[in-house]
Amino acid sequence: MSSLLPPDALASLDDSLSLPFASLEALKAVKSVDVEGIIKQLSVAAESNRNLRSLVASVLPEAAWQSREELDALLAEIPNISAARSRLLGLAMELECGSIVHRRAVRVEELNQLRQQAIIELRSQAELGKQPSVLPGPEADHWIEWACGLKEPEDGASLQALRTGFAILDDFVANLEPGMWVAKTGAGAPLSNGAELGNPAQDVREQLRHRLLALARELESGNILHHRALRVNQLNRLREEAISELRSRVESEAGSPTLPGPEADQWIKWACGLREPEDAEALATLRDSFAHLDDFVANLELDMWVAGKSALAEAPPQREKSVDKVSPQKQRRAKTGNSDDPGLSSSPITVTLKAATSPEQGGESRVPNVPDRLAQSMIESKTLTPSHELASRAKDEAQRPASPETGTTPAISFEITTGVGDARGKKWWMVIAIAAFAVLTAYGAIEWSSHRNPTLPAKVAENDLTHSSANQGLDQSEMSSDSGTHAAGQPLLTRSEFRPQDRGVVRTVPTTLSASQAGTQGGGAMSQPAIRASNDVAGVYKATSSPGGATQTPGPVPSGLQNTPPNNTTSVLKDNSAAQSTLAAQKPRISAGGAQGLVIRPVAPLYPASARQAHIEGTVVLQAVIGKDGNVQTVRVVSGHPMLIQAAVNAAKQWHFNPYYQDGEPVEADTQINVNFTLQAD
Amino acid sequence: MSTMCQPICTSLDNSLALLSDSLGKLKAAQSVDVKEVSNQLAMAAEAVGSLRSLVTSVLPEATWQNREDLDALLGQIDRIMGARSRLLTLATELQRGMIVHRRAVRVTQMDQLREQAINELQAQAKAAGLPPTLPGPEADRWIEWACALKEPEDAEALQTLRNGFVHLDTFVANLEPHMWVVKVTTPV
Amino acid sequence: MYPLWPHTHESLDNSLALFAEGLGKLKAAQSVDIAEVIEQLKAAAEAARNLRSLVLSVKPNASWHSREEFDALVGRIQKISEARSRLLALAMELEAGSMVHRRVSRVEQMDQLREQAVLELRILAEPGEEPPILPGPEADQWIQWACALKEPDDAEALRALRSGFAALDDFIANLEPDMWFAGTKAVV
Repeated sequence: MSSLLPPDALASLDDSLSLPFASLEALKAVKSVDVEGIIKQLSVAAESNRNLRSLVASVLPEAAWQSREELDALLAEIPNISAARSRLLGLAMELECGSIVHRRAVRVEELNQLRQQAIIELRSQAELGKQPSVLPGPEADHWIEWACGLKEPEDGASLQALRTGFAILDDFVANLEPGMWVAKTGAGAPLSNGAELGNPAQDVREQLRHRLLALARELESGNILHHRALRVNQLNRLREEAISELRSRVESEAGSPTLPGPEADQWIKWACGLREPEDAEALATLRDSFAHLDDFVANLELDMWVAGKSALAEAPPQREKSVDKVSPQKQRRAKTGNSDDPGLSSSPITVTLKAATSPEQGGESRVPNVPDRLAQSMIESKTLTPSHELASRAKDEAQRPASPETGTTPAISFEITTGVGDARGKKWWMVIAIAAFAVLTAYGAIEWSSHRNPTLPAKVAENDLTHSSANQGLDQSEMSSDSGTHAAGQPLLTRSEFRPQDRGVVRTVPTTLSASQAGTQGGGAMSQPAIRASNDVAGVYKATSSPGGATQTPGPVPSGLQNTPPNNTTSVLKDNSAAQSTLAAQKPRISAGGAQGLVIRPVAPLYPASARQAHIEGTVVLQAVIGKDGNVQTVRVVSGHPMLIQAAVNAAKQWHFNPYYQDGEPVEADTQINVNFTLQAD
Repeated sequence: MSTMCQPICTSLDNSLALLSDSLGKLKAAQSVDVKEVSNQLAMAAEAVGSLRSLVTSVLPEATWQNREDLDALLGQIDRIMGARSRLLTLATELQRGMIVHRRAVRVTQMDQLREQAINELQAQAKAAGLPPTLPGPEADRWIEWACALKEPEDAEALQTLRNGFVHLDTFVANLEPHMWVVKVTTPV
Repeated sequence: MYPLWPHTHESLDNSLALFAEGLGKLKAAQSVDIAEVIEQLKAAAEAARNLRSLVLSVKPNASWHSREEFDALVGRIQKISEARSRLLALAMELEAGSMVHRRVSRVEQMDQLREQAVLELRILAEPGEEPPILPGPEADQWIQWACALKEPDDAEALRALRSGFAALDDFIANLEPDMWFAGTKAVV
């Protein structure tokens, strides 16, 4: 088995096939078998099969095989290919980091040109889809010294290998004398005769160049993760263009433009968090100066990116921090943290589904607890992390203790939350939610009144939920074909009757609302739009079911969910007359509070078995159009893990809202729904 | 007085001196050996012819009006010939030496550059007029000196070299001191 | 080929072959139509269910753990079925034939013996117990053969007949070859 690939990728396939193979024997012996159970395993096996093929294709696009033996041989070959690529990239980085010194500037220039060409040659050889030539010699940090010591005829074989596979690199080292090479200066750009730059303006330019180079290396060393090879290839192309753009800026005589954002190791995370219009300035700078880089991060979702360990030279000293380097999230929090008007936040409706693996469910094989990135990832980018790193990473992940077999209470809970699904900020948001709950109650009443009373002015806050530029590449048509055999749709449930569709005991999620706020007990459809949102948890549905799903106990309904009389409310909406006029011409966008106030029948999504088994979590962001009748007309996927999308879409399509009224007439309205899939075990 | 033209000039001057004596005697109505005077005149004419050939061969467009002009031209010719001689001597020195390197491909490259440098020197030496100034010492120490040139300390010399001898400059820029071996021929 | 329920056997084996092929492709991470594999699985399960029903209808208490045991079981069932068929065929042959004798009382005696023999055969052919093996040829030749049995030459056959089919043996022992007319009623 390949040591580079996570062992679970193959183990998952084999595990899921063990029952079908066993059933084959039983059927041959004309014994009875659990057909449904086998079908489930086959679905998981099909998914693992697809993932494995994608993973192999991402490294060896031209690979073909007819049997498991041939597949194993390919998988055994992949580490070697990856190791070879790593060596080439390691040497390329080594060449980039060093510098040429010579008494003659013209010679320095010539050698630097040869060096650049050698670097390009190495990177080209290391591209995915190619079988790289084997680079003779030691590791990168000793390679140049070794190469400069090669002599003819004693080292004929090595020289022949070098000349055959890396003609330009051979040219370079043939021209290089040992005393000319200074390793790892960190400049990345040729120094003129080793002369020091004392010019402050030039220091600044050098710092900018360092940043760009550091980011280029960061991009090169990371990995793209996606279960579709097509998407991986697309993103890798964009990444290559971004890297080329950064490097060309470094070498530009005109000087490097300013790159907004933090240092390289935080940059991608920061860039993936940029939003319009809050970060318009940073986005404009990025777009103007680094169009390809902007394209790449616009298409990238944060959970697609796994940072690698790039061989970086030392970062130049930081003279001063620019405003750009402040996290946009921090800026947003600074802008919105003290807002007492959460109804105007741009947070969409969020549904969080948490499920745990159930050891009590018979017949299911447990998949080792490996993050979905590692379970799905292979080397999907053009830059490979060194194989020993990945092997140790896989080993570390495999050694992580699995969920305890005994005493685990499988937990499935359903809660409707709003706001950013960031687990780390959850507690903070919950505090804000408690503080803002009273305001939301009043807002909900006004909202309800305005919907029912046509004479009230429609007050809508703009809710800019556009993520289209970041997610245009997502191939929605692939969703249904890749979603396997998940159950299609769920029965409609009223809020109080909601039960999670996964079997297992449901753990009650502690609500942020106090007991005194508990309202009407019992079931029955809500007569009022009852979900009120803060920037965090606003409503919690408690549902319990024993294995077999027999009983349902609706939990207490927070008071915000009740029909609050208007005179207790405080208007929290700001009148947005500009928004009203534009809304008259197009579909209105409903804010968080407004849309949540209209939900009357949410439907919990089914946590896909294959995703659960592979421990895949994440948020699926959907853009929905609510029809005049309150039904969801269209659902468009904005972002999300492909294995979770179908379940989220199926559920969202069945949600039912109260119609949104504008000028007394029901109209279609846009809103955004976030569905969080989270696994947890007690 | 030009060192190259010294013998011819001396011969001309001597002939002219004798002719001047003879003219003085004729002026003083003294007897002179006409035949001797004719000989001296022929010798002077021959010297003049040689000088003129020399001057026009080196400076085809040169004109002069008097002896001072001629002396200046002869001095110029002297300098030109000296410069050409330096270039040719260096070319010969380059031809004598040998490139050694651990890599055969590098030896080949360097030999090509050397060939170009030699051709350049020879072409410059053949060209009309004063060739570009070749900085540096004499040929036998020139390569050693050139390989030690550094920027920015020797910027001036390098600039001169680069302006006049591009190929030679390229050659020495690529040459490391340890690559150059001068063949020592053992006299028979 | 299975003589018993050949179509169901074939259906099971074909479905299993395709299902196994699908599993093999899955295991080799090759592209496979999972819906088709599931259909094959369902077809195999259906065939297996049918076979089980067939076996248990013949032998309600049957159990097995492997395909070999199952095949052996089916083989036994087939033998039992064949044995039963023979008994029933002979019973029908005995019923269809007629006795002829000069003495009516003897005819009546023989008819009684015949009836007992037929009853014995039918009882032994009932499902539940494994019937004893009836020695001798097929039904249409049997009576002729049985009437020719002699002691001590055919001691073994006679022993098998006596131990398994006492009433039949009684009948045959009393029957003379010229008493018997196959397939017609005796007319006195």
